[in-house]
Amino acid sequence: MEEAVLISWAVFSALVFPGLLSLWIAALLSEWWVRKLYARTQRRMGPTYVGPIGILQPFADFLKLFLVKTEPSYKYGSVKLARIFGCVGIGAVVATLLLMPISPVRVAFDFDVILLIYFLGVWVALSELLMSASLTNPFTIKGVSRYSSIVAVAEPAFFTATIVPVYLVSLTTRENPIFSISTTAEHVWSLWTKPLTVIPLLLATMAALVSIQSKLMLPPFNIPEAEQELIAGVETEFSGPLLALFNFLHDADLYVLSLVVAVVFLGGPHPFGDNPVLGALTTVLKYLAVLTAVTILKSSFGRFRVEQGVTTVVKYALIPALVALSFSMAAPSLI
Amino acid sequence: MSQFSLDPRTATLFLSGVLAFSALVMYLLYVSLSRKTSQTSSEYSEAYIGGEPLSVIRSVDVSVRNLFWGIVGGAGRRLYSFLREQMHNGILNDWGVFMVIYMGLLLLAALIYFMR
Repeated sequence: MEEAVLISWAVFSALVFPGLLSLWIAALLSEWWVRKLYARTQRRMGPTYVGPIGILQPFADFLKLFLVKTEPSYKYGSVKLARIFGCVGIGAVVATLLLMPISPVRVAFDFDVILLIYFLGVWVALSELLMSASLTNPFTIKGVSRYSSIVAVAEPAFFTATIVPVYLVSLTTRENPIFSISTTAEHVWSLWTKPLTVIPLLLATMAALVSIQSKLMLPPFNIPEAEQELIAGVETEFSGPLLALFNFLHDADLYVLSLVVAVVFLGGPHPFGDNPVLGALTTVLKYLAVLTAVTILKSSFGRFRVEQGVTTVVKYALIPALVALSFSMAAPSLI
Repeated sequence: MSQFSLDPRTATLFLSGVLAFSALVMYLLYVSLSRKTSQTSSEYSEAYIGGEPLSVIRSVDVSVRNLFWGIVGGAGRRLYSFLREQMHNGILNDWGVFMVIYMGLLLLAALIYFMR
């Protein structure tokens, strides 16, 4: 009986909430927020035509690419392979969302943070890389090689940063399940009130934000899709439904990474964890704050060169994350 | 909201199943809703290289010969510099002596090799 309930919940979660349907809506709304805010920082209007204040513009763009434009055939690549990797990336994002406390069917167990690293770090990043590499083109290959150079540093930085709050919560609360996303989301808020845990948390949050910026190829780390230099880099050969799929995967990645920061680092619904309405509102506000920080970083810098990008990720993400983790591990008695 | 406390192995299999199921649904949605091209001209399916023909890539391709001399030149640069700067002092007679000694050594090596 319990298995049947679990499977029904799993199907609902995978298809509706927090799965494909709500992921599609949330990812495209996030894209709208970033586009609108980015435009405002440059004294532009941003999306305005579709829906009130242009809120439905990303949906119109997606539907046009997906339903109206045609999928081209390629002589030097495999469209089928690109489609498969795009869909696997989306599937990995859905699987990651089931580890989050926003999911109705929440999977939690000791050390479940490793699964977050596995799905988000391995599958999503690999899917984006392989989706681009499936359509051979000199610009695409150059973009993929640049993206893999950045990701090779940004992924370890992001996950080292994620382990910091998870480790600190396990150390201070000793609640079960240990090293779990759910337990961390529930108790991380209290760590922001203690002076000794604020330092590693601040360092880890900074590291996570810089890693997100680089993982998502946002300026100043937009080296893999460098316009005027590589045409569109990793996206050069995408058009029609394939471009819609790649954009959706990119937006879904933005959504889930920002959600991880809002929930795991900033505590999601807390301090209103007891009130569902206020709790949900607080989570949304924290999520929007993270998206705003990402957009401000995006609009503040010009594009780096490859080695500048890698050095910046090492300096402002990997080293702070390692320092924060070392500090957390070396001073358990102080904490 | 239901929280399921599964053991790590079952949870990993469960979430991998969710990944596969979501990917399959997404793929089926993609295949059934997206429009396929009816146009299959050769130009339409070529790779986009800034409007240039494919020969552009071939012309900048590093040939095997270039690669060989690149490696030999790179690895042998120090030896070449040493020979040029230390052994050859600009006096032709010295260079002649050096070459005679060098050829003599080669001859000796050849004699030793063939008279074994």
